[in-house]
Amino acid sequence: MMKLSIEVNHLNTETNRSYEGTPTTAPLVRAEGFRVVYYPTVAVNRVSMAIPRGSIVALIGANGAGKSTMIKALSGIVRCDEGDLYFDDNKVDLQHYSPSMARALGIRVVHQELSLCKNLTVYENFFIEQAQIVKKTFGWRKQAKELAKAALDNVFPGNGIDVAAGLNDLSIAQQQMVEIARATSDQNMRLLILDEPTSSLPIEQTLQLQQYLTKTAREGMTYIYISHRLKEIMSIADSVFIMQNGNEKWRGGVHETSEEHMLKMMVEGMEGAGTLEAQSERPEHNSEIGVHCECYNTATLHNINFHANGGQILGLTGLEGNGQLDLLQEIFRCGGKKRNKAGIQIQGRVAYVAGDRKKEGIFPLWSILDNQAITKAANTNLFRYLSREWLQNSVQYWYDKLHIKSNGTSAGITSLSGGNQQKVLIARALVADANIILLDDPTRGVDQPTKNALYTLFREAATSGKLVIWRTSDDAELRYCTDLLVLNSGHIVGKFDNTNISHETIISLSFESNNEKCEKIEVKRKRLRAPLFTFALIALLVIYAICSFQAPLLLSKYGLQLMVVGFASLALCALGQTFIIGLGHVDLGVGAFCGLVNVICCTTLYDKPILGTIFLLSAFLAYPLMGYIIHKRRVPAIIVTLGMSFIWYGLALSLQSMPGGTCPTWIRTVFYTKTPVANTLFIWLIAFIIIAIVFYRSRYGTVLRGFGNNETAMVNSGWSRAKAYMSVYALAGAFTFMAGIMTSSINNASDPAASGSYTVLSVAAVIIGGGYFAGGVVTLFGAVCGAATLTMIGVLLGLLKVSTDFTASIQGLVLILILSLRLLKRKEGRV
Amino acid sequence: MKNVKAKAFFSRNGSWILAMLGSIVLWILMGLSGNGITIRSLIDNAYTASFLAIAGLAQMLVVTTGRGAIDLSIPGMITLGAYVSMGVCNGSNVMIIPAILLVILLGILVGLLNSSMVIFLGIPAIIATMAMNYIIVTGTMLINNTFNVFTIPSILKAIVQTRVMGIPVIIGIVVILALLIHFLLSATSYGKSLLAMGQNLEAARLASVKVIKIEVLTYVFASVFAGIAGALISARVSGAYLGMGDNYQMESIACIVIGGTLMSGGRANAFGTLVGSLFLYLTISSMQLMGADAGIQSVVKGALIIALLLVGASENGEQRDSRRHKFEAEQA
Repeated sequence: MMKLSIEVNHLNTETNRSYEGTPTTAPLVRAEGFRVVYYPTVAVNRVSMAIPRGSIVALIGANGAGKSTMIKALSGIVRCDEGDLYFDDNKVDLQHYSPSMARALGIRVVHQELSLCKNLTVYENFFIEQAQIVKKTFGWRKQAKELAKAALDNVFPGNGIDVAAGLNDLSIAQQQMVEIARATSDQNMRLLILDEPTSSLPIEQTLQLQQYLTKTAREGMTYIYISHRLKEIMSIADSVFIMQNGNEKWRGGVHETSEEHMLKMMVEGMEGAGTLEAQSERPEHNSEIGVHCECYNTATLHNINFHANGGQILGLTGLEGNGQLDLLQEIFRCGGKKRNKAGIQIQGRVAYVAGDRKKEGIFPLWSILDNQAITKAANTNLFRYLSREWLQNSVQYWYDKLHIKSNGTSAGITSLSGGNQQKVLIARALVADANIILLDDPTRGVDQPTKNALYTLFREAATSGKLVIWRTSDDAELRYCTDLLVLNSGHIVGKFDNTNISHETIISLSFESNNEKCEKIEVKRKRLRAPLFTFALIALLVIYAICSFQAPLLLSKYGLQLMVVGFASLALCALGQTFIIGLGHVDLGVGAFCGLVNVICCTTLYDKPILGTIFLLSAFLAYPLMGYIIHKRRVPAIIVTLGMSFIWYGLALSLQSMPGGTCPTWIRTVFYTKTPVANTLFIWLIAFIIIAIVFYRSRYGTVLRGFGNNETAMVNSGWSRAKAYMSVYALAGAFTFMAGIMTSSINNASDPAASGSYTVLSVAAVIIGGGYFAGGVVTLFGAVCGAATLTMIGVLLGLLKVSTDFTASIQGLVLILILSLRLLKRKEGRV
Repeated sequence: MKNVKAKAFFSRNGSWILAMLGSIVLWILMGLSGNGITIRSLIDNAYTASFLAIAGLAQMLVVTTGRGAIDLSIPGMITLGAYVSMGVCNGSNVMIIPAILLVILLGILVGLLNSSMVIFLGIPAIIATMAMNYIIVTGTMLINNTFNVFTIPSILKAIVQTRVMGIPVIIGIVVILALLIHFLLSATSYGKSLLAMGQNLEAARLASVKVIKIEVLTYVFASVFAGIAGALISARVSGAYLGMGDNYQMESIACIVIGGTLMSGGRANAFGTLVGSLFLYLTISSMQLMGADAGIQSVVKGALIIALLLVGASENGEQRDSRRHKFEAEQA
């Protein structure tokens, strides 16, 4: 590490020099003989690349050419199997190369998938990634805002993005702008790799980005620019690097090439290039099976018209993300329904073969047998007995036919290679005897012999009268289709029945930006977005108003204090729970821990102050330790905290079996004494709420919130997960601890079981307060309002002379009501 | 290869096998410290455990739906089941059938409401069922005074008290129930679908699994089982009282964790749940024998849950991570 930083310093001085004159001749980055193998596919095959200083190198290629893998290898995300990397003529140790090392060298990437934390604001996102710039403890927000604003204005003048806005309030284009600007704000950056940066940018911003890139390149910055938009490349790139099937295909200056030339280079020599050979004969037409779309529209698909019948293999092609997947999923969705939707008509049983095996394909806990049989099993009567023989008989035919390499069908699915897993998924559809088979790029990461077997299989399926609809990202596969649909931006831009079609036609149709690019940036409709805690606050005020109407005394200072006494402990527990839920966990031990602190405080601490202090301290330390265990062993927090709740309760019970005890006087004096202004309890509670809120808004508090939303991005930005977990648990422990102390001073007695209900109530308070279980969306103030609301419901019912029996259930009903209202609001927001 | 298989088997079944061994050790220890190693002491514990096992089986089904689902309305449903069955029967054997039917109907209703909140309102299961629990508890309080809940119909009493060859009938019933659920999970479309959606909801949807139907059914099953457990428990403790289900809240979760059911869903183990509940009660009674008070018992229970969880996650997290990365890279 030490050595690395010296190198970086050394590099910096050199850059300063090279800024002065013309770019020096030695390239900034030199990759030699890069080879990356995803068994059995060779994704990058001995590719060498030299990136001159102060230049923009365009990296292009058809789908699956190996561009993404190449940049992942350059930026340390994927490890190279072979090759050398030189940065500024210094050899980089590729064995230990990682994203953080790449960053230290000054290599930055703007990926297609955004790596922003959606629950934070724009400037907070700048801070978590550029913490080395934003150093101030106080006033860091101002600094981060300035940084964000400067970076955004620098790249996209007049962007109109409010740096204090939440990421969720920005459109995709605006988020993309933030992501790009954030990378450029890194002062250590030497090389920026942009992967399809303009795919969601409107024209104006695309031009601004291009201007920025050419300007900074002249000043010495270096770029690798990946794009499908050849026009853009012609206007900004200095040189072009074309890849094909993992190999280098062509390289040269931008003046030596043209759009036509690039297209030709990408296609030429590709497997099955030239005119696709028409399949010798079309399988017999089967009109009983079919998919018919007429002027069908969804959010992402526009005016879809096509007819397909059994006996066809319909290929869906185009550049990735232009609506092929949406069309496939739409057909599956509609095929599963009994009634046909207007504009789309499906005759036949559909089955879907997922492309992303891990995310939406395999069931990792299961054997091959179960994985293969599930669709057929799911289609039978729910309670029909499925014997092992039945399952075995169902799958055996296809298992044998597909030559799945394993030790029999009872082996675990994860023991198979990717290609064989894919075979199982295809077999799943075939076993279910579906007659419309939807394939989502099924040959990704599959070796050639298997691929060939699959192609034959699809052909056989079509011959037997089935309809195969096949989305593929490998253009070479299109020749196995009988018909083709080319999609571009959600439109069908080409229909072919595969007689006289050339690759060039398909590729130029897909690349043609049919100027669908919106002229202006899409801004999310400006709505006055209410803060998350609004519902809780309104609910609280309404209930408070009703209560005061019933008992005007509540409006007095005395009445108010009485209420605060009622909910102070729960509010503190809710604050603690907020931190935990903000991380995406749940603490089921809150109530029991509060009870334990209460008991230690009123028994041991009262009798033997020193021993009591030791007890309290060790109880508190258990919390960060819990965080560490959850981090280290990756065990579910919900169980750990559940187990701990038994321990807390048991310890409390051992110390004190019956309610009783006395709170030490000094604690009562500190926390629960009348003063001329207000009871100290009141002051303390407000102080704790402020401390919690201020902390959550502090530098590290922001980092913790980031962890709740996008852990990977946070770790990649260099934050420690262990430290984050321990901090969150320590914080939660501290606030729950204070809840126990408060309970002691209010009641002047202890009861191990008294605060048991705080566990679920605190969770409820956080959720009512506007929090969500996932995504790091929580508010501390909302949680306090939620706690107060839940307590006030009890008060109100008491005033209305409703028996206390109803308190809990009314609390439950209010909870459901608030959550349902929130759902309605969310739905409305989506439209 | 064999080693790999054994490892896989252990990581799948490790925690309940440990619990099984633990149960035997505890039983022997109890025998040594008390009045000799007798089958009788084991059976007595199994008897107490069988009531928890029913609640545990119910919990197991809901947990298996995945995404951290937990049914917190089980205690409420147990209490409600107890009240309704006792109240409707009012000591008469004739009324047992309508009483049980009513309990089942209420279970169906609660299950439908729970699942609607989860599926259609998008409320997290833990919150929805918690709110439902409050509502059921209140409902029970309302009928608290209208019924005579302290006379037990003799048939119900017989079910929970009769022993055949020294073995209580109820143990047999619970074992049959576990068998039935094991069968449902492993050899019916319902079970396969449930396990599939618990592993990966999106994959299940794309594999044509009827996820909504399955989820609704599961919540219904859980509530119905809990209601029936309530009726049986009230016969055992001779009456219904408020809060009688509360102990089953955390214990039902504890016994399935010990039993090897995955809290994240997708893997359930009906027999493991039986072992888990037996182990839990053996722990409690052996500690009672050793003179440990309720506090220590609770501490040990908690420590056991965490220890078994850590054993269950037998490989350390980082190792698993690196494997995952490799897997992801392969998919890229």
